[in-house]
Amino acid sequence: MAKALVDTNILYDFFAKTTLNSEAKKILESLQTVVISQAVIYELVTGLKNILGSSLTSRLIGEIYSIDNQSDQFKILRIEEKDEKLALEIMAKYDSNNPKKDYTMVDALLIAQAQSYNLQLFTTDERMTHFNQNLAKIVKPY
Amino acid sequence: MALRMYLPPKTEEDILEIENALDGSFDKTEIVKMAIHNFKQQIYSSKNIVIPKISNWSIKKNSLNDQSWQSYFKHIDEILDSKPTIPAISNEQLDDLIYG
Repeated sequence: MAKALVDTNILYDFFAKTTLNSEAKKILESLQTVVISQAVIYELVTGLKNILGSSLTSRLIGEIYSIDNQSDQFKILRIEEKDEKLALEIMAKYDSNNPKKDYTMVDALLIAQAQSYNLQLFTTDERMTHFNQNLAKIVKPY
Repeated sequence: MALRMYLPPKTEEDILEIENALDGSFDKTEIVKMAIHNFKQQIYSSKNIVIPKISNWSIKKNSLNDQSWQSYFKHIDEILDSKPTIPAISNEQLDDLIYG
């Protein structure tokens, strides 16, 4: 597969070296380009910082930015105003059917970006599939 | 554009934008303001979150010549050195870790 948007949970398994590290590697390896939303970068920084500390986290995220500038392995997807508007529309529609609101703003942004850029979204979060599947193709690899 | 300011910045201009936004001098459309408000509510509700300063980011030219995934995996392993594997966590636990 050429490229896909990858959620925080998969990148966390990879960078935090969890017991699902090899599964996360397989996903990355299957893609020519791993597209990472800036929103995911923020979540990743916070998640990793709590596990690895600031210094190591900065270094790992710095590597993503570095490679983003030089190769196709990682591409960071900036959040445009149209993505935000679409995310808010998605949230508004979703809220009316789901009073639990079991998602984050970042989840809605990812769905919006997947739709805007016609990308598949790889995530391990079952809750993401609660969004309307017509909005974006969501793949739950493990 | 707007949410970008609450995410890891790349340039000094980004830092300036963040400072302006936090000073309340940020002028955008209502819908973008609402997005910022929603996002901030989630982000800043956690006591654990501190936005990293640009000076702490180790953005530099990557030394990888072989840009295969295997080479990248090895590179990351080297950065993590001998860090032991940790137990995987659920998505709910990951949310707690990020948003507190």
